[in-house]
Amino acid sequence: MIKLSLFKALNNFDLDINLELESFNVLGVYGPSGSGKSTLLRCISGLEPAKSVHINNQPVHELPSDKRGITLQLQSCPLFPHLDVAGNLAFTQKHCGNKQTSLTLQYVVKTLELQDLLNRDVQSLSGGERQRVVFARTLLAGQKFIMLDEPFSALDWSLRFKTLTKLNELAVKFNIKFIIVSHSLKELLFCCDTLIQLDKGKVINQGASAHVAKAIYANDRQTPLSLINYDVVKFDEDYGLYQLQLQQSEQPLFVLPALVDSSNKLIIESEQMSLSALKPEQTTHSNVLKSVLTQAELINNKWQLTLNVDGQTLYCLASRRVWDKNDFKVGDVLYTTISNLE
Amino acid sequence: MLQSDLTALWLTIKLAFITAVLLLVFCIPLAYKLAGYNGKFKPFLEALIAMPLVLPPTLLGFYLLVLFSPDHAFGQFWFWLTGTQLAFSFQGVVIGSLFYSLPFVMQPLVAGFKHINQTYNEAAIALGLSPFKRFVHLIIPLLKPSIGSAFALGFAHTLGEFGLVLMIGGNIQGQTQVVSIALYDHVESLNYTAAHQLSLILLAISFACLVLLFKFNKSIVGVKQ
Repeated sequence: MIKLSLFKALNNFDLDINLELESFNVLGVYGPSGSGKSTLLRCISGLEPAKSVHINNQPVHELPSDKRGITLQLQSCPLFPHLDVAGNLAFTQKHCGNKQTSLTLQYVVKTLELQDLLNRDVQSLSGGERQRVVFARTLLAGQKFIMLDEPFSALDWSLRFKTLTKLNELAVKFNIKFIIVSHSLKELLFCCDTLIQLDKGKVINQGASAHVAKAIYANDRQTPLSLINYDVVKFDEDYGLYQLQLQQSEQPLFVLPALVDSSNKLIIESEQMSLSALKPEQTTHSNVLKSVLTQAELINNKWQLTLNVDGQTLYCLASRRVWDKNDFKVGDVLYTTISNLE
Repeated sequence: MLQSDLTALWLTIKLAFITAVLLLVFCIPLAYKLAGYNGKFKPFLEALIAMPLVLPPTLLGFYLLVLFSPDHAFGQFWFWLTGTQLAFSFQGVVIGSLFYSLPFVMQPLVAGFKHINQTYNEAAIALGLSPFKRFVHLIIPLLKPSIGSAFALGFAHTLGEFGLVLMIGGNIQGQTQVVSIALYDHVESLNYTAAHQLSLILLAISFACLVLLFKFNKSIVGVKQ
């Protein structure tokens, strides 16, 4: 159990947090711009004063930043320009935080694939490269509690998923608790086991990622996302595609290598899905999953359909006209075609 | 070149160097505090530091001369401490130069600290770097271009001192006669050859200082991401 309570009066509202969370590896903080996400992290780290900050009932608001045992990676965090990439990493390891960590420079460089960047001048790095080096530097501070503010926004989705997967691995292997702030629910759903939703300084939803995400889809006019867990069956060299199999299922998927990583997770957007009552034959799509319609809700003038695929949940949107025309009912077996995977 | 001119040249370089170094020692901690200070007295402090920019050097020299006189408490204190007078001495000229060149050293340092504070300080705090380590291992190395810039400006500005040195130092060869005063003497006595020689040397040194200054300024721009 992790407890966090914090109070800070802001211009338009009060940041008033009282959280009790079951132990997490990666906690996501989701909310619109100006909801207090970054201020929350800044108050926890000590960059901004707050009336009270308690972590596990211990007051930390009077401790200076370097005594809190927490590292914060700021949004658009700069590298130190008088040092090259290797110098930035070595500097952090030498002068910052916790020297007792078992996380080594070599391990971080290898895990984040920074070998080719080590001798580069920091000003020659692209936005994505810079973010990866900044993340490595954050890790090398060696703390067990790391907060990241929009850490991978400059990375393309393929590399972002890959890095988020590493983040999960690091959390488990080195017992690090990560708090990650992002405006992208897709990013948070992919990497977080626990989510909180902030609005005007208050936590309005908290709990397991899938549970909070569902509440966000319903309340915030968000297009729903689905998370599929899979196992890799084989790589088909003839077609350059991976054959996957849904976990606890024998249903296959064929996907491009760029979408496959060690997280064994796929994020599917509702726009990628279409439904039919009959199994599509002679179609250009090979990724068709047999599913059962478990719930249908009219949200924001669209039907949000919840489908069960051998224990996993897919969310699909249908217009009212299509819904009325097809006469689908809860309990029907439907065939879900997923596009843009191969 | 006359021996007296060589003496004046050496004295000027010595004065400029000592002034620039002493100003760096005083100004680095002051600029650090001032860059992070946002209280209501900030405009007054900034104005006080910038005063030598707008004051006539003779005015500054006059007040310092009064301060250094044996009739004044400070002049008496100095005499009690060292057994010498500040007025018409090299030490007096150094103290005068410290006031005269203060804004030229202070301003690049304050600008440098402000840039570092805005850009890098928060990132370092967030990484868990203690205040001491932050100052020694991050801020000072990042400040090097600004320190270079401040030194070059302070040195170059002190090289050209005239009115203030004449007021508080007079024109004593080997003690207070700097290049600008020696040059004035040559022009007064219509010795244009010696005046040209001194002028050219002063021009060359000042130009070299400015080249260094712009080189450091380029480095300051270079550290911005």
